[in-house]
Amino acid sequence: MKETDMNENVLLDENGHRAAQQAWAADVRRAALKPTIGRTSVAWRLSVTVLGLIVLAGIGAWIYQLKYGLGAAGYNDQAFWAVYIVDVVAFIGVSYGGAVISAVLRLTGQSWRAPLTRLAEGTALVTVIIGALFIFPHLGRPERFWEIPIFVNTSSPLFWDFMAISTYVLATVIFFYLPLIPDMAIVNKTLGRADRPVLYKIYKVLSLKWMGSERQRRMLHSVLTLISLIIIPLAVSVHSVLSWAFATTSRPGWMETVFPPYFVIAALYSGTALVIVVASAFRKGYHLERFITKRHFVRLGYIMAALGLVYAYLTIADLMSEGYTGITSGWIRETISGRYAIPFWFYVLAGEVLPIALVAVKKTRNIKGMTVASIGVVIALWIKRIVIVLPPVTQPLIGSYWGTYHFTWVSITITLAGVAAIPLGLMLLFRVLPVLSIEEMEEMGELGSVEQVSRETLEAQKHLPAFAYANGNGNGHVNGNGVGMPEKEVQL
Amino acid sequence: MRKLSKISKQASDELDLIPAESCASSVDGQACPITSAALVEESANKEEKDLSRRRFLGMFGAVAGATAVLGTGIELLSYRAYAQSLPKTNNWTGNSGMTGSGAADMASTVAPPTHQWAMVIDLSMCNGCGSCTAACQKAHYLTPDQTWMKVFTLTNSVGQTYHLPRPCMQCENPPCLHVCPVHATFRQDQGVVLVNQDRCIGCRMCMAACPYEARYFNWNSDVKYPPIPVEATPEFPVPQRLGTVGKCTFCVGNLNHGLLSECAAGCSMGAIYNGDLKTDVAVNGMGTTVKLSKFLYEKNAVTYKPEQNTHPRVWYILGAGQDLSADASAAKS
Amino acid sequence: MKSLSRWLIAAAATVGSVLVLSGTAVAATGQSGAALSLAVQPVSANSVNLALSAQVGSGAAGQKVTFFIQTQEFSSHGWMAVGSSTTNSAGAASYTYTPTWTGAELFGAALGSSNSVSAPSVVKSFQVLKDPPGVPQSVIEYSRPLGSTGGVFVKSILGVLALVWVLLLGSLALVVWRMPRLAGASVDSGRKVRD
Repeated sequence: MKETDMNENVLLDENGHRAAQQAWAADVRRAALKPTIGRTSVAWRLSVTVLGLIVLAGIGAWIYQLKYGLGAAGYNDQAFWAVYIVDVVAFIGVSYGGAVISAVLRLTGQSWRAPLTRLAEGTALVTVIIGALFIFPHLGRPERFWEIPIFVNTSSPLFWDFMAISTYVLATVIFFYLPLIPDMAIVNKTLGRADRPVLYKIYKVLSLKWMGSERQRRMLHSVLTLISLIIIPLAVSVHSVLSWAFATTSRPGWMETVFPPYFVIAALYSGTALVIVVASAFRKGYHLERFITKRHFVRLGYIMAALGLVYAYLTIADLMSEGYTGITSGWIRETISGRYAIPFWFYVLAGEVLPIALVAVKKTRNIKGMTVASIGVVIALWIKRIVIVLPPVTQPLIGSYWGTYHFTWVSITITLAGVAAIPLGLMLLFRVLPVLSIEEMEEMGELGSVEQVSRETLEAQKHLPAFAYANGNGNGHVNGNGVGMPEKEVQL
Repeated sequence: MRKLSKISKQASDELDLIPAESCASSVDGQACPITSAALVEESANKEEKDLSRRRFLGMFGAVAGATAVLGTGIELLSYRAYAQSLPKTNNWTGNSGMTGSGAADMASTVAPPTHQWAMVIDLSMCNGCGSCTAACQKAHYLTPDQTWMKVFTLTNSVGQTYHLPRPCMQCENPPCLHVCPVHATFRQDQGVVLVNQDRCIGCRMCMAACPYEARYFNWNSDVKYPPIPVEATPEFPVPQRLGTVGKCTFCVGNLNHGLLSECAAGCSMGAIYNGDLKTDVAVNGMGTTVKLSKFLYEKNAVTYKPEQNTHPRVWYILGAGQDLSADASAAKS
Repeated sequence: MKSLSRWLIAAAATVGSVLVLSGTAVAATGQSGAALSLAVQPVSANSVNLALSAQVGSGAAGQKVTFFIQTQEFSSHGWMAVGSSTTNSAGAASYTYTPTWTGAELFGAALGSSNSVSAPSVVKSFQVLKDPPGVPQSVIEYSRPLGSTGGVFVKSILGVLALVWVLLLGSLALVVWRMPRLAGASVDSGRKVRD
């Protein structure tokens, strides 16, 4: 792309704009709907099969655990909370990425978010459900779960965990559904009912006669703004309450004032990282290179790095006072130099040093760099949760005998099943739903937005990205890769 | 609170609780004889059980529903409403050799508070032999790692070792009770904190909350129990349920029958005293009888980890150089 | 410690409550050489407390007398030293005791301090009809910093939670109910769904 073309782009007349807009819209729809129509590719089917088998293996392991008891998962009386509570915290944590990308960026009017919102909200939905489901392997008697809302004990932190998580799941589902209303109408208009009569009917009901009229649009916007306003404090409170399940006990290492923000930031940090990982994977796998560009990765990378620095700060704040005074500091000694040193320093390297360095160095501030950084963050933050949970659990409250948690095939299989369920859930989700938020992206494709985005990007990156068009007949392509990426012709 | 007490009273009226004239306070002081009245009560009790349970569930459901709707706060559903409405089922009497007798007393979660059970452990007498642990494990069919009564060997600040038998402290302000999301842990009217393993969901929040590591989970399904003729109750949770939490019950069934707890009876050094705050008496396995308050005062008894705000009902009498500070011992790993 | 002492204070504070104490029979089973007699009677007419009075026959002053009660707790029938006092110039020693259970109780006394004697030399039966009411308080009495405000706290949080649910479900319901009705409105001004 040459500089001159882009300047022309900004100075297009009205017809040109309309043409550009239509070309853009057609591209968005093609890219968004391609995974939902026709036969799936071999790679897709293979991935779904493999991931599905892993999930089934996890379910099998859980049934084994139900039969033989939690001891089969490596638990014992001095390691009574371990990998499953870590999974609950970690999976519900990563679902915050959806809240950040979608709600925060929506409220702050960041229009660049548009290609990411569906992926982010989908990730949030899938991970929060997986995280909530991990409560069941955690319980010794999962069949009695119904007792929590029946035999209410309001002084129990777990009751409030239950309330917070269920509220958050509800909000996530609504927050996922509302932006889908226009998209489902668009999908029905675009694809018709012939190939997919069942889906057509479901979409017809769920799209609530969306016509795209001004009043419908206004209403949807205001409701979405309201939900965004609710979901941010809700996300903060859910992880605060989760942290209080730990911090309201008298265990050294858990009874920390820093815990609520510590957990919230960890959740946001790992959540942003997971959105980057998911965006990177789906960008490649679903051919969204034209829409999700280096620009998105770099901006998400900045957000992630900022959260990473805050998290490093909170980690130090957590360790400092008790580590200095030496009161009840056995868990700190074991964390830094004892039996939990390896996972802890792995977190420091892979969860803080590496991602922040990759964001800081200009050369690695690209899609690959950000992807590597965020994979490191996601893994390191899971391990960091282990380091938060296990030392206070295994420490001796009387005497000096440290307990040990042994990973077994059961706990590892169930955890891996949870990990595999994320891509599996997303792939199945985007088999029936558009992978891009068509409505939002088309809005972004409107003239004002194009100019706004263009100017913004011009200032930021000294080149114009986004919306080139070829000929206005709907076959045009958009190159959003920026200078760093080779321009690529993408055909449907 | 006022509402609650009304409900509780109603519950106890409806359930027609047998007033547990404790055998321990009977004049002859022997274990309860099998009287015809007791047997009648027992059979009536069995018939009533189902009805009572249903009534209890209905009542409890109504209370729970009201709470959910009105959000009436912490006090409304205290352990007490639950405890007072528990059905009385057990006639198992532990290892005492008595079977079938005193069924109602033994199993009744709602004993009138003629007793307030406590324990005193004289550390200067303890030689760490572990016979209390063995007696407890035998009586309750515990697995080797389930040490409801555990003897820790600790080091004091001048490097000498001493032994610390640790039962459940039966806290008057038990953290485990507060954090239980389903009221599976409750505190009966004699001050003993018990676990209803038919309700426990196995979240292990209580294990996290207990500062004394007194709670043990049933991790594995391969535990073999001998055939036991009765249902497990919170007072005598044998056989234990897989996936639930168990802990020291103070052998409250024994105590209500004028017997010592298994650990006190099994202690060959006479270091463990069972006490009753109401009658102000404490007795150890050697038959030594002391006036509890006087004993505690004269021997400078302490509770373990008073900073935890738990108010234990287990007191320790320290010998020379013993130091109950957890941190001092934990720091010397 | 706290609960115990508080409960004992509560017990002592019920002195005013009506107590009927009866029984005067002396059953001296003296096996000791020193002539020691024991009398048990209420401190005053309506008192919950008993005065245990011992008289040393020789009238010697400054002798230690230990008072006992036979417990029935834990089937032990052990003699429990409840306290001791020193005889006065007339050879009398007394100790005020608050009985903690009812029934026919055996009181006793012996010369010597509680460390040196473990059983009484003189025993007397006494029928206690009532003991002080009151038991140690339950857990709810212990306050946590948030405990006293707990109810209000819980109610307000549940209120906020209810508001969140109403807002979430309400906005969903609003969209579901209102959106189809807005479909036809002001078609021209809006951007319709394109095919």
